[in-house]
Amino acid sequence: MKTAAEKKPLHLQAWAVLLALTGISLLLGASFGHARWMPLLVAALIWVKGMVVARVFLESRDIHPFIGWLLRIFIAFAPLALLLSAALDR
Amino acid sequence: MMMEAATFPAQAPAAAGRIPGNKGIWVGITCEFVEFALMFVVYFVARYNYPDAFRSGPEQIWTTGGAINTVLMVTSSFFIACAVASMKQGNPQRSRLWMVAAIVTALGYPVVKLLEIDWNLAHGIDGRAGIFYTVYYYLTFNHMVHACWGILGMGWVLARMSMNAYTPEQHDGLEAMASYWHATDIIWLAIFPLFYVLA
Repeated sequence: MKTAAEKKPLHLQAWAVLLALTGISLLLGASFGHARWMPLLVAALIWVKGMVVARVFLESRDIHPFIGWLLRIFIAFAPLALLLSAALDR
Repeated sequence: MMMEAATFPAQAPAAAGRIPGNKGIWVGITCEFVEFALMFVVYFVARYNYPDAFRSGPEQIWTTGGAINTVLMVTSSFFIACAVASMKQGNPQRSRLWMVAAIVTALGYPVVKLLEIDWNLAHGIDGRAGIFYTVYYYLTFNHMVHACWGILGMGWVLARMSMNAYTPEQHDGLEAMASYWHATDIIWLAIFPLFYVLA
């Protein structure tokens, strides 16, 4: 298990990744907002960003199983619903 | 006696996992997740029934405002994670500075949100401008309310820090506050692309 001192660089990396993914999603949204594959990409980005916050900031690796499942289910909820709505798109 | 000790262990086994903060905050976070999951259901039902409104809606709202708020949420989440890490390292002074940074950054969120609403209203986008905007106001207003509760909580934690209420060994209140803020951040990271990116 990492000590608190070792975790700070990891926090910084997670912060940079979250900002980079936000920037990428904005650029792709502006360029390909209406593309049919955008919901798939946005679903993946929502899931990855949520998991980064859970894994690094909330340290969910050694967390109580109920909280771990709660986080996994909630983080997957919007992406799965987005994929379903894209599949059913009229 | 031995039988009792064997049957009712004083502490839960380590394999049960860590509870960041305390159980009470996780009851609150579970309720928060259920509430927003229901709101996401509203969003997707509306999106399914009014696809055109949801394709054109994001083009009208202030994307820059949403992007700034994402940066503010992620950054304040990072700062509060550093506050917890500093406390665990035995550096309460530095932890307090990180908490001040987290509050200052988080305070930007409602300010930008108000500017965004002002911008929207100036462009004729109110709650009756269409189904997309009704759902947008419904979800983002609710999130702002949750964020404001979080900011008030951070103020309370900072006041407790000033009274040296937390130690490297016992800082459940600080970690509970951090957990709530990270959960609120996770929710925003789902809301942002649904309204500001996806057309």
